[in-house]
Amino acid sequence: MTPKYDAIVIGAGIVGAACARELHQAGMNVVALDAFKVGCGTTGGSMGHVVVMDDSDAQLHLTSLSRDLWKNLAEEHAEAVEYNPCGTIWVAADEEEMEAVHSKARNYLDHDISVQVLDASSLYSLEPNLREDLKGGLRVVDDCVIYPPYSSRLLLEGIELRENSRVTRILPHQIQLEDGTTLESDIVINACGAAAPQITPELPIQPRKGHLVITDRYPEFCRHQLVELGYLKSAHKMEKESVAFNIQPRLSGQYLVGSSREFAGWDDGVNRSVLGRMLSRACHYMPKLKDLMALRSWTGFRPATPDKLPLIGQWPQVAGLYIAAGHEGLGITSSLGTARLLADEILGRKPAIDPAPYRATRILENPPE
Amino acid sequence: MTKVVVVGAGPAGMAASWQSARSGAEVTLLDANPRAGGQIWRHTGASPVPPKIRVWLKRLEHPHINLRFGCSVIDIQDPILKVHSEAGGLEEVSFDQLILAPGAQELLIPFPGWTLPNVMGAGGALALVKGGMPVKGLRILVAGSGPLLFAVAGNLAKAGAKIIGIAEQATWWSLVKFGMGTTLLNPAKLWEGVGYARHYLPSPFFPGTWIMEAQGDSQVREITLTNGSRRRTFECDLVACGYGLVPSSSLAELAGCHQENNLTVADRFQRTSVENIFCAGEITGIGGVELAITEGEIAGLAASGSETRAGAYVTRLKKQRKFSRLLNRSFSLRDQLKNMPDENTIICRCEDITYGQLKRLEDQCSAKLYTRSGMGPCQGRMCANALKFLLGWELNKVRPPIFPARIGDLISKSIGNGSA
Repeated sequence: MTPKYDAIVIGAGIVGAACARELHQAGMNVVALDAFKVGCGTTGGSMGHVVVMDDSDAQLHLTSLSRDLWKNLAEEHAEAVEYNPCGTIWVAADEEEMEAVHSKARNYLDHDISVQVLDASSLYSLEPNLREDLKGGLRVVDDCVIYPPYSSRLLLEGIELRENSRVTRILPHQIQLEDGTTLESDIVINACGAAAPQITPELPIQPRKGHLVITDRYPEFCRHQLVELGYLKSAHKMEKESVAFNIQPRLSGQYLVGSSREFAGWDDGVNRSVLGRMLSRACHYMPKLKDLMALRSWTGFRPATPDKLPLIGQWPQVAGLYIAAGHEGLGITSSLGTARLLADEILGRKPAIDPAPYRATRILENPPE
Repeated sequence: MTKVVVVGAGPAGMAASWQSARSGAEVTLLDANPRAGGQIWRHTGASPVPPKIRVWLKRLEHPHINLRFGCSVIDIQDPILKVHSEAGGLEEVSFDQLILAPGAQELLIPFPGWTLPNVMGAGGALALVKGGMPVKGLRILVAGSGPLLFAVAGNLAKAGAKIIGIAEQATWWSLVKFGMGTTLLNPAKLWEGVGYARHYLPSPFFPGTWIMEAQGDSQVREITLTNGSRRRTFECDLVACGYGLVPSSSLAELAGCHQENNLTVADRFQRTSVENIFCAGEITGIGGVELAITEGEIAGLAASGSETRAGAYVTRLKKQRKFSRLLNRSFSLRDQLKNMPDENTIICRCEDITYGQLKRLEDQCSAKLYTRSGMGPCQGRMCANALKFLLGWELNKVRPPIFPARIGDLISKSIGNGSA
């Protein structure tokens, strides 16, 4: 007899874990599967920045819903998720970027997101190690940092979990595992991130590689998650390679330094030239970073979609299949909002926000070039 | 002229450098220490150096050997090594042929109390004593496995310490077999052992015995040994322990040299799976000084295009490999040592992770994700090998930098402000 579940979630990264939890809390009998182990893919390699982003209204709605959900969860389980309510500061290097600070501030305030425009002197009083000629910044007060692998495990508490279980095929209301077993369920969710196309080949998700470096402990060197506003330019060009300044304080007194974006297939080796450029960019913003000791570098693969929005919802090509993937660099943040929207759809609840912009089926209507 | 770079100035690296230089190559020998000799031939330059080592030091004076001390290799991208030198920061050293002879490090198996001050690695204690640490009158227990224990005990005793015992985990019977085998294969080794014994005798020798627990306050005061059934406690001021050696494979692995069981695989000319990279000494298998020298000489000859002359070493190599196998067999670690740590014993000292937290997990990757074990400044150099022995966990993939490095040093000089 094949086991029967109310829902099967494939992929126990943070998005899959969030979906499993949301359905479990709605009273469903859920199993979460992972080809390896909880949070060992993109989730494990990521920064864990929970951030409201406003590149598009759709992005703003999803990230702000998600951040609210994270705040509630993280405040309750602060230790378990290593909650660090450090906020984000978007750093402006020139007048043009300062203009962007003001327009972003207006947009955030319109959506009740608490922000503070910083002039140069208030920026330096908050972050004295930034280079001297910056113009100011935008502080997004309620952004925070969590530790993704711990958080994924927390989300999966009380849920049946099968690690080292690779799914080879998704059939109507059924999946096949590598070891030959079959699991049945009315609902199957593909939450495999960058690997989602391996079992749903039509999905236009590409691995977009990133590098990170972690330093030794230097308490108080930097207090907020700092991101250059130029990041918006570099993150959005679909060019082969780009780097941007991004530093994150961890509770241990260590710092994660990023970021890079490149399309390099699944090659997980450290690209020394990209790494060098990335660190050089970071030191350009924070010159004293040069003297911090780097302990290790690594890479991860963001699941990138052509239109920068995740794919959330039913996938009518296969009966019973739903998608929750393609979050690029916002998977940690958007995981909880994604799970909420998906559960709203599955359970026929009134959606928390308009789900239309994220519907997976949009790519069937407007197939990517 | 062929540019040969040798990493590691222990016996293997010294031999490789000398043979390469003699064959006409331009050799650069890199080592993190201030002098040649490696761990096994460590010397200060102050006290008289034994004749055998003096011969090799003399050979390094060859005009085509450029000795570079205080240099750590932090990354490799064939054909360039990124080298951090104490004197001048980071530099790139290019090579035509590379010979890796990084040696080995001690395996420290954690036990309750192992983090107390004055509990240290046997090799570490030896290095400290040779570096001038005063041990006169200190009561020292030497524990672990392998012939190194005798060398450590001998040197500590010579420096005035009172050796209260040597606890060797191997059984009497395997020691007897090792002694007989050594008589046949390498009688000089026995005399070496007798030479050390002269200093530490009549200290008691405890075969088939290992550490159970160390106790103390601001430092270790007592050590408890066990043979599996009986336990004995001794007062002591210092514990020097080491449960054999594990090869330092990070650089070879990062260079893409094929590894099997954490050993770098080499052909009969000591060539690795990477065309222009050779290896010699302990990274090909723990085998001691003589084998390291032979492998070094062969690698040195082959790397400098004199492969034909390497044939002369075949017989010597065969005999030494036999001795290496005898050594590894005789001092193979007993399973009971896997019970040395208890639930509360700290395994990862950088992140304070206990054995109880770790043993519930599945592998090194889970440990890293869910406890951060091995993610501190030492990057698992200590704990990962212990966990491999205790729980059979494979080591994590090596990522640059191999040693913690200044962020500024990871930026190539050619890069400007990295503008996006």
